[in-house]
Amino acid sequence: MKKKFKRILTMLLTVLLVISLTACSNNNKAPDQTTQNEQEEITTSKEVTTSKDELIMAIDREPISLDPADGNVAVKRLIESNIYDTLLDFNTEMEVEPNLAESWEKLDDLTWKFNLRKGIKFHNGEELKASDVVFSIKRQFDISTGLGNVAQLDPDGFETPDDYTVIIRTKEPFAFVEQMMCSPGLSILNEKAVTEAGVENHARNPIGTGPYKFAAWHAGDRIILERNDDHWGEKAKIKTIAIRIITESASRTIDLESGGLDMTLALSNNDAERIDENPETQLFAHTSTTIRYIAFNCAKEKLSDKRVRQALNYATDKEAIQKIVYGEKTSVLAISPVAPGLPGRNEDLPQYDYNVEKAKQLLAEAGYANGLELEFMYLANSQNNMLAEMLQSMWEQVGVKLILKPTESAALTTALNKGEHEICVAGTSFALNDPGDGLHRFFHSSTHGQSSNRTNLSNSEIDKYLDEIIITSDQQKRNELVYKVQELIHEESPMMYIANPYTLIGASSKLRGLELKPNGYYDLSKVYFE
Amino acid sequence: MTKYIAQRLLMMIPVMLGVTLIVYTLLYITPGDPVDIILGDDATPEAAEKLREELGLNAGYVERFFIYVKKLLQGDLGICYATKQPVATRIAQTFPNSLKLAGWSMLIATALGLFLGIISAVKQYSLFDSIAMVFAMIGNAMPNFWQGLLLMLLFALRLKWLPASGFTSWKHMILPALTIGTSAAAAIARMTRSSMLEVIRQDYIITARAKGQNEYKITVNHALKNALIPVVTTIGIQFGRLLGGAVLTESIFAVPGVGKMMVDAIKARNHPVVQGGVLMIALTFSLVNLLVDILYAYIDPRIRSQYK
Repeated sequence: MKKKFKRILTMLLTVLLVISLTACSNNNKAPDQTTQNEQEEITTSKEVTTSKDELIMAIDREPISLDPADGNVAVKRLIESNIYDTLLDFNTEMEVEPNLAESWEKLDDLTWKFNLRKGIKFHNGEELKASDVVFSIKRQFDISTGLGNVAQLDPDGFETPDDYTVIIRTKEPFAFVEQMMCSPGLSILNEKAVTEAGVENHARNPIGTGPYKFAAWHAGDRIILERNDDHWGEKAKIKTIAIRIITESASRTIDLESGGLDMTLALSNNDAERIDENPETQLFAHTSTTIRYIAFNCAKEKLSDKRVRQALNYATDKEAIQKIVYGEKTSVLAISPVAPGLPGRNEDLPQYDYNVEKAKQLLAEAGYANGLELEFMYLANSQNNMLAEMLQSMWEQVGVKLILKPTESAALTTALNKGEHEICVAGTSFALNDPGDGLHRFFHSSTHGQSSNRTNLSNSEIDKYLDEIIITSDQQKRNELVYKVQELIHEESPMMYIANPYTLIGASSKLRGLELKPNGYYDLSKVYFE
Repeated sequence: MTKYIAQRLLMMIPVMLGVTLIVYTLLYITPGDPVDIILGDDATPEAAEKLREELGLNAGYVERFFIYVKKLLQGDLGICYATKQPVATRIAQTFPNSLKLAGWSMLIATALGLFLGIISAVKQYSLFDSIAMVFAMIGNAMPNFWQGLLLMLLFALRLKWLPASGFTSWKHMILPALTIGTSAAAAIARMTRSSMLEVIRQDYIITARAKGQNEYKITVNHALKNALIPVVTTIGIQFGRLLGGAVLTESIFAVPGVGKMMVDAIKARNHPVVQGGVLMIALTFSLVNLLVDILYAYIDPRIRSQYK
């Protein structure tokens, strides 16, 4: 009896032990993982901090792939911009400068000529040819997740007079061809590599010409990049970059503070001050082209009257919201639909200063003297909850009952794309660094239903200006048009601009060389340790 | 016994089909379109419609369900909307990590839980019993994410003994395994104590004492063995639950396990991954339950005799 019982106990413990040991011997390998540099990639945090030739950074979500045509998500673009190169690039002042194309010229209103640098090699050893450029851009027409702006290009308008010259035509005059060629969405791929590997395999084992080569992808855990020692430009300073996927904001911050990370993106503004004050870490806070705003859905009956929208603007203490919700030191008060620093920004707009009486008067004029009920849809998180409660309490003063509808991310996106919301909070950025392109995406009536347009404003005069802006190549003239259209938009009050939040990055105090661009991108190849 | 196991395995088929139908229906009625998440910013309605067609999302409720079940019966769990990889590959990437975490957690939980439970029962109302039961109460009451963050703050940030997150070396496993292990240990300790207390009041234990048997033998050979059935059930349930992914703990410690994969998939409305993941969890849970039932037979001869 005693022996039997011991046997049972032994069996129980053996089952648990075997499971644990079997699992441990698994070595964390997944079937599709790239085996290149495997020995190097399995490193502990401790080992990493002692090595100055390896940067460990954290991102907040896993990219779905590293194919530039596979959707426009910021974290994906950041990694892609280090693996691939584009024809042209923005410098830190957001001026367009040569990249894979050493020079370019506008031949006529519709035609652009790009001259490629000679002798540039992809990571697989193939030389960059004009045909690769045409392949990389033309494939976007056929892919549903491709860059939206390529619709401006003429699919039959590509020419390659020789291996180092590319001619590109637009369907209509389009003012942002140069800026578009800086977008990581139009990164240049090697046609042979994509064709041989297949699109899906290439998307997880990308080949580019960038300063870093893709080395490994441990699903759900990390992506490893290795320095491209044959890069045509300045060589990267750090040999290996491990990009870890840590979804929890608090975990990213603690990992940085404890020395497990050298850098973390998507730092929450609650943690920014702590990171700034800690002598072992530093805070990079940079003005961005992002704008946070409250969008009024003008297609909804109650909000179709601009007096109601203006009244809500007057009824809101925007400065208080900016300071409390977005942080006094981590954002600036937004005063225009155009982000700070962009050409043509109108800083003279008459602001809707907090004025309860004026708001009440406008509501009465619009027929809502006894108040009205509105719905506010927002992504449920602590920042937005605070914002919602502040709005609810402020608007109550003018007789507006705000029904709060905190919503989960995917359900919210779908509802907003369908235009089901009355009021929502949104954020967007001027990716091409030109207000004209951004304003067109936010306010033109042809963009209703797109994720950039949450106001569904229909105003023919504004449309006319926006149409003219996107075909006006002359920067000075375009700036004048942008300046003027801001007045019209501001008067219509389709959105209530709140804040221009900074891009916040936490890093080890020993990290140097990180230069943030206003569009949120930066060149990891320039980063090094002191 | 073999016949019983075969019957139980066959019974899993309708269970799996039921689970498939329920998960499929829940995902179908949940608001949120996967296409919006895949396309990201600046997607046009035309591109969304094109992608929806490509993914087969325009078909009706019944048609989509039968297509899914047909593929499932052929062993095809579908393709992940996001990474375009087979769902089976995604599960194969994440399941070993959850298994590893669950294994170590249960080792901690079982050792700690049995030890605390047995001593508490034997030394009922002693100081040890009180401390152990307060520990068990805290372990049960404290949410895992909170406990995980506290452990992280102490061992990673203050003491700098262990890495805060990740899952690449044994050091990375200690904090998440402790987080889960201590809460599971609490449940096992409470169950062991109450079950032991019930048994040690039985007449046959008094008889054993009267015969002069020593306390160690009475506790281990007579009491614990008879008290083990509900304890094994608790261990089985805890283990099965952990194999499905300790969602919050995996997220906090950045463990690339099934739980984290499922949460990301639910957020992105990545239907095939959610369906495949839930099926995997249901299957694992059923198998662990079967294992527990088989263990009953080995522990208790009365149950074993029923199988014959």
